[in-house]
Parts: sequence; structure tokens; C-alpha cells
Amino acid sequence: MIASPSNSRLRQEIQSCIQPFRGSLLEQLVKSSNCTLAVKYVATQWAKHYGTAGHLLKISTSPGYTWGTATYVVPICFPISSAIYGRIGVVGEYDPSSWRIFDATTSRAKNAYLTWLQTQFLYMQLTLTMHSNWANQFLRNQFRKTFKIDCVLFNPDQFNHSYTAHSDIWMAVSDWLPNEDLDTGLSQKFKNCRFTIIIEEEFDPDQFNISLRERIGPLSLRQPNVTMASAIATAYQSSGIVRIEA
Amino acid sequence: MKGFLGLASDFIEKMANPAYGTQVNESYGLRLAQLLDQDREAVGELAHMSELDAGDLSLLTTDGWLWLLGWMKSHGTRPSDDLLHSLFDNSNSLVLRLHVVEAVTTTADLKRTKEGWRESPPNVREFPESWLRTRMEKSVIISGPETRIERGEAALQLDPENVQAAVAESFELAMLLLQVGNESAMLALRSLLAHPWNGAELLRAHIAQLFSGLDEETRRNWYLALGLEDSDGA
Repeated sequence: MIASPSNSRLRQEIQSCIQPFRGSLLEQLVKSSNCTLAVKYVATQWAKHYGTAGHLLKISTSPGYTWGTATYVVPICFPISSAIYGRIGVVGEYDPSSWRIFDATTSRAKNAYLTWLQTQFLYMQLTLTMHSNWANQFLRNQFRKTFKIDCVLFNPDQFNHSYTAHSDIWMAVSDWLPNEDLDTGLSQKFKNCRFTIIIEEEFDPDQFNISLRERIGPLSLRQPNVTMASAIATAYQSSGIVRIEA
Repeated sequence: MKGFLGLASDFIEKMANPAYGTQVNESYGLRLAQLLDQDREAVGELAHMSELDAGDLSLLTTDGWLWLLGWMKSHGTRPSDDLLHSLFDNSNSLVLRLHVVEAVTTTADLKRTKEGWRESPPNVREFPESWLRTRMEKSVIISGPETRIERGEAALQLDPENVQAAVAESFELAMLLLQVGNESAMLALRSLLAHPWNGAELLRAHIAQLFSGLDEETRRNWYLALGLEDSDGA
């Protein structure tokens, strides 16, 4: 348990932004695709590694990530939303039935987090220090540990106009150690992870590193998400591969 | 293992330094995870680098140490006291100091004996976690002169100027413990605040000042958790 300087009203406000899976936005997303599959895009050097069964996703520990130390994936209903990060789509199954989900796509939840941040004893010093990426990571991890958040839902913070919509939803999923700290190794939350998608495109960041530009396309009409998600789910079940044209 | 860490320093830098970007960090992180997955003994060797000491500070950059502290913490271990004191004292980085305190308090595992400390926290001199014990002793000037001389530090007299400096040092440690906020950190803070020394009142006054901005209920809970009296009379 982590002691928090926030008052009971703020704690209640944050708790009210944390939902069980039943009734959550994630449940709606799962229902829309009729499966609990998620995708993570990785560089081509990992294609063969994930080409065979039994491999796990790596928990991201880089201090540059939006919600701290977590496994960053995207629900299959947004099948190419994070393809800007790699050509190889690794698909895995997850069981969210017992998750506590913080829906950071809402202004209310974002405000609750920002208010909590400002109650932290070292808020000013950490906000004004160098190593700000590490400071942010510490605070985001602290928030998720304090409120035992299994999954944060959030909107993308990097984009490509034909792959990533501002309204897409990404997930940061926690792996817990027995001492309630966050794990940093391989995620046990996603099973049977397998290389299932090839993106025939590569991306370059623009000068602001917010938008990423295609190097090849667009060369073809993009299929609707629901069509691609269905094809990917079918391919995953049959150990097939789906190619997404540029 | 020192040589191994030195050889691996560039790899760790690519994995940990945000200046390389998340994709480079990710790729190196996945490579390490894959290597360690194939060689389970290497996990144990990397997680138990107890022979690292203060002289090894230059093996990694701040980003590298931050990563290593986090990685070791998630494997239930931490570097030696000697190295941690050196990191804490020489870095001048608040973030690194915070991660040191977090690593120490997360791996301390004080739960087994904590029941008995509910009423009265352990004396600073007997605090069961060695790094925190030394840190607290140092900050409240209860180290004997011999110990200070062994560390190459001048013996301190309890004159007002030194007390002020010690209070500043102990308050910084208190802030780090408050921010980490886990049970071991709270226990250490209770010990620190309960310790009778020349600067005790001033340290408690600083804490009271910090809590004065909190609402009444939250302030009362904090005073209770830390075994302090709420002079604001909630």
C-alpha cells in the first residue's frame, strides 16, 4: 500500500474513474470485435522470434512512455492504429475480466490524474528537474500502484492520418509483482503471442515527432477497421498472416 | 561482473536513455529480455551485483543506473550500501535519489517484523534496513566521530549551524520517503521523526509546514500515520 497526500474527495474521484471490466469502455471494445485479442507492432528483426508460438511481449520500461512501465498494446478493433511503430504485428490473447481499468480517454479522468499529480509532495521539484522523463515515469507508476490500476485506456499521442485516428484507444497494461510493485520483464498478461500481421509500410517522424509520415503509400484504399480486425482474428486462430498494403 | 557491466554499458544506455527514442529503447529492452530468457542464470548474476562498490559509479550513466535500479528492484534485490550511498551523494539528481530510496524501501521486506512497530517504530540506531539506518544516523548526526573520520568526513559538533544543515539533510530524506510512500518508507520516516536529537523539533516543524497545505482530514491522517501530534488542533 502506498500512502497518498490526496484528500478523500480526490481519491473518490479517481476511484470513480476506475471501473471493473464489466461496464467499462474496454468491454465495449471487446464486444465490438467479439474477441479479447490485442496487437503490438514491433520491428522486423523480431518477426522470426514471434513467428513461433510461446513468446511473450516485453513490458516497456523506457521512460518515454505515456503511462509509465507497462505493456503497450491496442485492442484488435483498432488493428493498425499503432503500426507506426513497426512492420510486424504481434497478436496475443488477454483476460481482462478481473482488471481495474482507468479510462484516461475522458477529460474527467485526465483532470483527476493531473490534480493527483499536483498533490504529490515532490511535485514541484520533479516537474522542474532535468531527467523529466524519469520523473514522469516515476509519478505515473506511483499513480497506477497507489490505485492498483491494471489497465489505462488512452488516446494515441502519435499519429498517421491513414493508420492512427485521434479517437483510437490504446492500452497500457500492468504486470504486478508479489510485492505490488510493477514488473519490468516479459508480460504474463498476454498469452500465445504470435506474428500475425505484416504492414507493407514504413514511417518517418515529422520534425515535431508527433505525426509520422508514410515512406511508401498510400497506394491502396484502406479497409474498414472491423473488416481488418475480423481477418486478423481469423488468421491468428489459423496461424496465418495478414498483409496490409501500403 | 563489473567487467560485464562495463562491457554492457553501451547496450544499457541504448535501452535506458530516452534521448535514443522509445523505439531504440524498446528494441534493446526486448533483446535483453530474449537473452535473459535463454539464459536464466544470467538473470541471477545480473540481479546480484553485490560486489559493485562506490568506485564503480562511472560504469553507467545516470540513465543506466536508473534502469539498473529499477530492473534489480523488480527482481527483489538492490546494489550494495556502498554503491547506493555513492549514487545518492554524488549524483545531485533528485530523480536518482528518489529511485535509490524507492529501490531500498521496496526490497527491504520489513513486513515480517512490522507488527511490533505499530505502536513504537524502531530506534534509528536499530533500524533493520542498513542503508536507511546509515542515512538516518548520518542526517541526525548520531554517527560516532570514528565512523565519520572513516568516511573521510570531519567530526561534527552539535552547534546551531550544523544542526540547521542536519535538519536540511534529514528533511530531504523525509521528503523522499514521503514521496515513495510505501510501508517501509513510512516506517523509516516514523523512526526518523521519533528520534530525539537537537534538530528534532525543527524537523517536525518543517513537516508540519508541509502538511499545513493539506485539508484537515488528510492532515490528520498523515499525523496519525507518522505518530506526530497535530498542533493545528484538528
